[in-house]
Amino acid sequence: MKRYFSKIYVLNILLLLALIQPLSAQNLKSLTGREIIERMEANQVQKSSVSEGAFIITDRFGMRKKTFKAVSLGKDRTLLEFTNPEEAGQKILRIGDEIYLYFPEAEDIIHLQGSALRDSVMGSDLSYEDLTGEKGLLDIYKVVVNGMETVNGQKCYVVELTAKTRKVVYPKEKLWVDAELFVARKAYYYALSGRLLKEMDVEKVITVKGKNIPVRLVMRDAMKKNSKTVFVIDSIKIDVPVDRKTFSLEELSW
Amino acid sequence: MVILARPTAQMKILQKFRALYRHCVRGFILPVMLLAVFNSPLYAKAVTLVKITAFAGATNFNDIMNISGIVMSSLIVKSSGNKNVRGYLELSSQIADTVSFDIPRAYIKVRFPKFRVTLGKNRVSWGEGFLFNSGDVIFEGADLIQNLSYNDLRAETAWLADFYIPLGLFSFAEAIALPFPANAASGTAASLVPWDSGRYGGRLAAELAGIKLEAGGIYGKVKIKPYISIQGHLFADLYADCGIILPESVWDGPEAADIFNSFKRSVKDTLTVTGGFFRQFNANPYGAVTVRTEVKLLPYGEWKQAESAVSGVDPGYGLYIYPELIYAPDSTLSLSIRSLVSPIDLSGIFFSGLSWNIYQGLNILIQGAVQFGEESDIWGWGRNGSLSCALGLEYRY
Repeated sequence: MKRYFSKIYVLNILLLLALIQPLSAQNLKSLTGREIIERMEANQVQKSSVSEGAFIITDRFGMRKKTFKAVSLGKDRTLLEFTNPEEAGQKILRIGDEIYLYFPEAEDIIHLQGSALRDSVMGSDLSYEDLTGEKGLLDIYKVVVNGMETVNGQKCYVVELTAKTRKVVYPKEKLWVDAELFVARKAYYYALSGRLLKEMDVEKVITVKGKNIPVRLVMRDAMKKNSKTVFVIDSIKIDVPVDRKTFSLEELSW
Repeated sequence: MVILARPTAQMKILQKFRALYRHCVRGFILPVMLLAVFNSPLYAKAVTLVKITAFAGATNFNDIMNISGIVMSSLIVKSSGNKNVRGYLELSSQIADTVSFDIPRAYIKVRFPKFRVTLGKNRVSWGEGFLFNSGDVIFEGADLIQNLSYNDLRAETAWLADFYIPLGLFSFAEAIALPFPANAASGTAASLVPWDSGRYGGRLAAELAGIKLEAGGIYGKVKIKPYISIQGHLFADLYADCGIILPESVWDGPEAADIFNSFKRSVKDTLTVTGGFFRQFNANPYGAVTVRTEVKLLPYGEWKQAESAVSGVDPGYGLYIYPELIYAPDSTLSLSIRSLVSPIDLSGIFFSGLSWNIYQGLNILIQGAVQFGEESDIWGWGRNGSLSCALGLEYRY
């Protein structure tokens, strides 16, 4: 934890510097891939958050909506509860690389580790890793900056990520990171062969307590043209007091 | 009698209440109070869920195919909004050519600062295992089920009083009392059971270095059922349970050697080890593949084929295997293959199913099951019910 908070501290300083310095084209270009990813991850990591939102899965038959509420503490603790009628009360607790699933009808807790993190969350185009945040991208990927492009009118760094290990969902990723807000505006996820698997577009970003948070993003499976998952955050509070006991079996099975 | 002994005090309170009520109504206090109560976070709302599953199917019976239909429905009403109290009521029905009703769950769960209490009819899941679970000492006898189509193969409930005490983030102790038998359809208020006919038990669960350990047991009038359970990860999620049944008479005997011999005999007769592994493979871009295999092992069980077995009834064979394969090619479709195999007599039941979530809350279900084996086996081709198929719809709203 100490190491984690010191990292947050450093990232926060970087973020503050970014906010108080007018960003010229010159210092935009001078950022390394590591710095871009660090600034982007500083936006994604909060001390804590409480949010409500929905997955909206759309395919050729129409739309299915799954609503949820989530509480997170730091980077590796998340408790998510589904609130739509079909899955109401089902919960997912993630602590680091471990996932606990709670099924209220069976009053059963299933403990998953390892590969299960790659599974789709409730039939969406998002994996548990997509949802709750993987380990730091810099821990997993080599990063190369490949110029700048404009996405939806925003200047973005084009960052290419290549996995250092085979134990990742996406061996290659390409991110368009907003040069001012340090939020991914767009992402492509590739197989090892280089085939495009998924693409993600961030459609709305809000700023809460100095953090730029994507609150509406669209995931599309490249193999299914008529299918997409829209991930919406309807409300979010960050850096609010969250009891550590929230991430316990007691709370999960409550 | 106690109430009648204090009429004056009661009347005074009643008069005060009436006066207050009149004042409230005249002064609009009551509507304001009601509004406040209904907007308070303490006010519990009710959430309802309706599940309807309808099947039309065919099965072989008396050497011809027979058709049938069934509608299973559940109405679930549960509380929400109160952080420390949960109420849950489930009414269910099965409608075919006859109608049956049940209340599989009705309970209140209350959370206090140091522990929580559940009182009513509910399920508790002890041990680890999807189908085979020798740690499930409360609900027994569901291992050789004939219908592998359910999402949850172990779904029995019982009337219980349950005390859950968290001992840390991933450790807890639980104590339970069950007045009625596990398979009781419903325990009514009129049923009086001698205290020593009930079952009482507890378990302790802890997690050490990513390994979940659980130990517990149930004490009943004629038997004691202790178990241990372990769950961890090594290339796959692995779990195992070990349980025995000790007759209460195991402690009877003048000498320690008698007790030991009796204990040894009970272990030989009842030792059951269950275990399994679970692994998911990312099949991107085509979806996910889930593999699960469970075994039930009775080391001192019957390892030779019985001369004749009753369909679906466990003759006490030493080994059973449950393999399961689920392929989800995309986010809406899943194909499952499950089987329950008795390697001793080489018989089994094979199930395949398709579930397609086509609209919000709606699943189309297609299922088929076939038994294989000979006449003297647990399962066998050509028996009544050895071939069946069904088309169903499941809607949750």
